[in-house]
Amino acid sequence: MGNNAKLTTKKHQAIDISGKISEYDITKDIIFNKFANTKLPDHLDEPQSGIAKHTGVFAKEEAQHLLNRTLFGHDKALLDTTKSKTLDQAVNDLLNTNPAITNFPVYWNERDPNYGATWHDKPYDPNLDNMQSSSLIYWLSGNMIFHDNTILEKMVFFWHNHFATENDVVGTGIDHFNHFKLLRDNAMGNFKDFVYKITIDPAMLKYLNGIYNTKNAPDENYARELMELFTLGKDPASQYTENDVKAAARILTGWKINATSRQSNFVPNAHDVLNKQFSSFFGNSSITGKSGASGANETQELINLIFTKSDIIAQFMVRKLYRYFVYYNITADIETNVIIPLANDFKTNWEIKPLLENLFKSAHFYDSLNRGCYIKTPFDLYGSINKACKTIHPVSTVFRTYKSYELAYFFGTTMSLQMAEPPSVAGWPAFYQTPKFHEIWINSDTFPKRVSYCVYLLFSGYPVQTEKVIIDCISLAEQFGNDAADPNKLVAGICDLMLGADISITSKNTIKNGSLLTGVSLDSYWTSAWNDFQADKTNTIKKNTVNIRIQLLLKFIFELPEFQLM
Amino acid sequence: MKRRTFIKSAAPAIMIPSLISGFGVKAFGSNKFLKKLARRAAANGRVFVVIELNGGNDGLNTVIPVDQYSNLSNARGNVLIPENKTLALNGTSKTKLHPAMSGMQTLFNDKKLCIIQNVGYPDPNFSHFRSMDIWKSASNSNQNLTDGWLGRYLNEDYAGYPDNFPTPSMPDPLAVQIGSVVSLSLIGPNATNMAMNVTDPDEFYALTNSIIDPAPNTPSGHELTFIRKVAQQTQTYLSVIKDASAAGSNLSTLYPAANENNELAEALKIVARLIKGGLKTPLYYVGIGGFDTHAQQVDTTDTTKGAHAKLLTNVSKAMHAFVDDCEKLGISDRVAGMTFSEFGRRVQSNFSLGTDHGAAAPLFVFGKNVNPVIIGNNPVINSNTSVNDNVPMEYDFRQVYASVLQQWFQLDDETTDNDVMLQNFDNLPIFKNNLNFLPTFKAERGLLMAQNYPNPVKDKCFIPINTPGGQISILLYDAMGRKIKNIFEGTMPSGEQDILFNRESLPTGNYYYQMSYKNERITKTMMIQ
Repeated sequence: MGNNAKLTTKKHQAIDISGKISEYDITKDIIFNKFANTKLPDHLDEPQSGIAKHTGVFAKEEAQHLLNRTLFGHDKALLDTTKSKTLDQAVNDLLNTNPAITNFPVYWNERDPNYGATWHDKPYDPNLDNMQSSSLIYWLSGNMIFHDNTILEKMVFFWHNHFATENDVVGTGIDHFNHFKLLRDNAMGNFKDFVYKITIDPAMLKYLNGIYNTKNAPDENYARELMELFTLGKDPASQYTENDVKAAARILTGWKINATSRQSNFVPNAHDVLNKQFSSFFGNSSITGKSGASGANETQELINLIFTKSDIIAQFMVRKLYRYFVYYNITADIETNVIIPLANDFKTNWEIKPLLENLFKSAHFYDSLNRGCYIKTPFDLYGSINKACKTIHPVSTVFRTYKSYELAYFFGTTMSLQMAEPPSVAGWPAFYQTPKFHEIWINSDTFPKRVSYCVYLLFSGYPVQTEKVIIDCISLAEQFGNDAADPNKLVAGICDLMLGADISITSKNTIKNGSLLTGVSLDSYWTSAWNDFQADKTNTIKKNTVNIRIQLLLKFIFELPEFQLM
Repeated sequence: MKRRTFIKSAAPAIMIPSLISGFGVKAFGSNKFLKKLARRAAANGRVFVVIELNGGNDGLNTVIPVDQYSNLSNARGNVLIPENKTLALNGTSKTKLHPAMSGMQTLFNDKKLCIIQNVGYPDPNFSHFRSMDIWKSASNSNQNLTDGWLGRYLNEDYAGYPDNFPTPSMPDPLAVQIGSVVSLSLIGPNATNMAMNVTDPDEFYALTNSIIDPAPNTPSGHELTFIRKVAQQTQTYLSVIKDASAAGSNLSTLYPAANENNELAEALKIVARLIKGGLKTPLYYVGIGGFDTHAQQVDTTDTTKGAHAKLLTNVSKAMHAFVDDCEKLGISDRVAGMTFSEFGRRVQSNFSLGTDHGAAAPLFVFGKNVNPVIIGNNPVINSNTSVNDNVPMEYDFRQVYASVLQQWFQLDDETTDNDVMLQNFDNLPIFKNNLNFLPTFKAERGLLMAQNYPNPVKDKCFIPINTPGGQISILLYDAMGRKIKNIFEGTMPSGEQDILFNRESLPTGNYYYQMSYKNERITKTMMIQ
């Protein structure tokens, strides 16, 4: 796998223009393939800025950019408090994460005899795997959307994409929960320690066949991805050999999963005790084979050996983070001015949080050329309408709460981001597939869904028993306080909050006239309609008069290509 | 290793129907389905064009009741059109048109225009927003509907849109709206926009909405351009609209020149081209704004000129050219349309040479197959109007809608009442008789209602009426057009009757009383002292 892999997205059902339901296949998407990059763009204005600290203003636009890239959506209030902070405060607060879980996943189906109960802390029962897995994937999706205004969930997703695992392969809900807890606990921690923990993580041992890797039947699956996808990458500088993969696989023999504790344990008699010789790329090092329980220590020695190639690893990881947070097109200048300096810092201690801090405080991050160029992932898209539009979620019962989570999961799934089901161990192609990268999110199947599902949450809402997940237009407008009574300010404010690229005053007027004013010429008609409603908020007719006009405004916004960017 | 099927099969399978069923797939029984098939066959190919005159058109200066001139000049002398400048209509000397409307005068005299007097609704609302929403949703004044009458109609004829469309029998958009403002009229149940919004069918980015700011040569501009192209190319109906536009043409020489900036004419030109080009779309929606003429409605020195004259010129020229175009394109048999505005304007003019928000106003239906008459009576103007005097309603706008649905689209009675108009509205004779008028529609009835006596009223009076017998109602409205009370409601024997009316505690002022018998209404003024 890796950069040269065939372009894949996990197949999902698509409805084509003639109404036929079929499996969507991006390689057959004529429209997408006609317009997406055929090579990395080299004709654009390129940022020259580096990682020196941003010394320019930190105001609304900078705050908006920072929040766009570090959270799955934010509301007006968060934008307002963030822009009033200093750059240091704003970044520090976003990075001040707390991985402790307060809402452990539960059985969510009302008909389930265990309805409402947690399962991660109960003895493993294979009969409950399916319900636990569905609980897990909805819970994970819900966490992304109901984030705590820190970067944590965005980083959990980064690591999920990086150390990719598929739920339908891992199978066991508890193992996969423990895996995601590992991602969460280490999301901002030490990368080298993280790699070690992932290497012996039960879910990963299952996903990449570690449990079947024994001295008599070595399985290279994990050893290969450990180098190619998790640490060294497949750059020209990354010259590990097939024999290195084989040697690493032999080092990793013997790891199993304890059937009751669901922890990994080392089984010495499955371990290959012979010495393992590495190539010149690793300085012809060799790791001495060990018998008994100390055979497990070879794993840490392997990680230490791999991490001697610190420049390669640090640059590979910084590029990956850069593409996740900034933009996919790493020009020669960016390589020199951003990637290499950040990597040089990162390799000194492998701490993730300071690396992010350097990036998000850098002049480069706030370079105007880096703004508004990021195509929202499906979670960014859903998160952005969810938070900014004050979407109402039924949370009166566990079942209803999970139906809200389920909607987040469905939203992603039909737009080719199925939580806990990446297309392969390489993660989602939008994060690695050159030269199309992020453009992969937008194709002839997903684009109409991206618009119509948002419009659906605007007008109809997603029914959850007697309640609905629905955008709350009134609360959306009320975020703007007195400005909501001024149609120009309301349109401008919503554009600022929701669009990745600014649109002209003429365009804003077109939106205003077509929505808040519904064709009449005077701004005061909106002002008085809004004020009338504010003075008599229980009056449903007055409410509907303004509500339907805000709906039209949001419909305009959702249909703008600018809305797909952040 | 892939062992489990639960999630994989569940997720997409649940997703698609559940999200999509939210868009409102409405099942229909086989009985109704057959009815629909029959109706569609009958109405096959018929096209209706709705023209929104946004802002509230001044009806009294559009269709001018010249028999009311002396009272009109008291009430609105500063905006009144000199009688000798008004345009005459064949067959009547009492009703004339604004001098800017020579195109529509020709249409009427050529029997291609129907004028319906005093169209409004009970308890009028004077807010643009609210009144427009009432007109578009076809709600009662105090009722909150979030879908539109055309949307509800299309949902009846094309159940399941948009999920299962296009289909072989309906390959084209159900409705095309020229312009990017989504009209509530076209919002169907469950908030589906039944229309395709088109600004220019030949332009690359013109669909969905018209906003295309130039993309800069930056990463952001690069991605924006990419998304725009995918968005554009993915529009389901893009190609059919472009093809129809290319295949169609315009043949009328009456369309105004480009420098007249007649947006309505430009929009109707596109409509004619799309119809001729073969779109099966039954509904088109166009509009112009600017009718909110609070000030400078007329020029200081010449009331035949000014903002309102310019607006009416545009409407008249556009409608005339469009009807002429349909004739020359050979599609006139199956094309008709109507205008509407959220309200008329106040009887009295203001001191800014303008008029304020009012109530009922005339409405036009155009096309070769309309009943080319004036339906209804000239509004009655009081000799001493107050600032709040309004033109009272003679016909409910929903009677017009119901007539269009039943006579033009052949929608059956039951569906019209239950699913689209949401209550029963009597038809008006808007289309020619050979278009299968519904049997419930009957022409003249010899209905009469005379002036109340005594008038002015101190504490009681009598209202003389003559009816063929049956259910009648007489309602009292105040000068604002608000319903005050039922004077009479019930079954009446045939022949002459005097209805007693007690003033009770009603305040002094001008009132209107209106008798309704089936689809007909007669309105008179009453003064209470």
